[in-house]
Amino acid sequence: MTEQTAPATETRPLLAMQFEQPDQQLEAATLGMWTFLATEILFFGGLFLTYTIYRIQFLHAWVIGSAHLKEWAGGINTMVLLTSSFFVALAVHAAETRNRRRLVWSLVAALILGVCFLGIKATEYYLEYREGVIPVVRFTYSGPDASHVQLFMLFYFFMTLLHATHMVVGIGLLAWLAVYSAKGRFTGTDEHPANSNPVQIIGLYWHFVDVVWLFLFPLLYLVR
Amino acid sequence: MMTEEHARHEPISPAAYLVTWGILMVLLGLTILVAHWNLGAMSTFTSLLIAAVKAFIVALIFMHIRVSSRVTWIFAGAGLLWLVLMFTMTVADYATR
Repeated sequence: MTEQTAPATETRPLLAMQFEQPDQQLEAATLGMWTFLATEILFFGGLFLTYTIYRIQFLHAWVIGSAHLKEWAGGINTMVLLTSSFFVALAVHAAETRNRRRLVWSLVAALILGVCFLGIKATEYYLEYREGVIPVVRFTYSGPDASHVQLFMLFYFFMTLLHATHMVVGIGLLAWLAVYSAKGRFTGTDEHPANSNPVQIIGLYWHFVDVVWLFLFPLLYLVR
Repeated sequence: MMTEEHARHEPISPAAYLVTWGILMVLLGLTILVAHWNLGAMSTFTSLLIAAVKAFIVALIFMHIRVSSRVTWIFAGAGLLWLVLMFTMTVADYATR
C-alpha cells in the first residue's frame, strides 16, 4: 500500500479545481462512466453477437449443451446479483444523505453477495468438471452433435469467465469503497462535506455487471 | 434550471429501491416459470423480453437514468444504439445469404 498517513476522518476537497460546483462535477463523472459502459456494452456485445450467430446455426447442440448447465445455480445467482444491486443502490442513497453507518453496511452486504455469486459459480464449474463438459480441460461428452455442444460450452465458459472477471474487479472496488467509507471519506463532516461521487460511479459499474448477467442467464441456462 | 443541466437530483428513496427489488424478483420468477412452459420458439423471445424489461428497470431506477439529465440519457442510449446497429446489420447479412 502506498497510502499516506491520513487523519481519522479523511476528507478531500469537495470540488476538483476544474469544476464550478458539485453538480457539474457529478455530471462529468457520470457521463465519463456511461462512456466507459458504452465500450463495455460493445465489448460484451461482440461476444453476444457471435453467440447468436452460432446459436441460429446449431440450435440443437445449444439445447443439449444448455441442459448440462445447473439451472438452479444460475437462478440463485441471478437472485444474489439483483439483491446485491439493491444494496449498492441503498449505499448510493446513504452516500447522498451522508449516512456513514448505512453506507458501510450496505457496501459490505453487496460485497458479501458478490463473493457468494463467485462461490456458486465456482461450484458450478467444479460440477461441470466432474461431468466432463469443460472444453480443452476435460470434455468427455460423446453424445449427438458433440463438436457443436463443445462450441456451446466454450461460449458458456468464455462469457461467464469474462463476467466473473468483471465481478472480481467490482468486488475489489466495493471493498475499497467500504474501507474508505468507514473512514468517512465519502460522507465527510458538517464542516467538511465530502465528495460521494466514487460511490455513485462504482455503483453504476456494479449495476452494469448485473445487467450483463440478466442476459447471460436466459441465453446460457434456458435454451429451449 | 439546474436540475435540467446537472446530475444532482432528489435521491430515490430506499422504499422505492425495495419495491424495485421486489418487482425484479417477480420477473425472475416469471423467467423461470416461462422456461418450463413449452412455448417452443417463443420461449427464447419471451425470456429475452423479460430480461430486457429487468435490464430497463435496473437502468431506470438503480442506475438513476430516470432522474438523470437528458445528456446522460443520450450517452447511455448511444451504447445501446451501437449494439442494436451491430446486431441488425450482422443478422441481416446472415439471414439473407
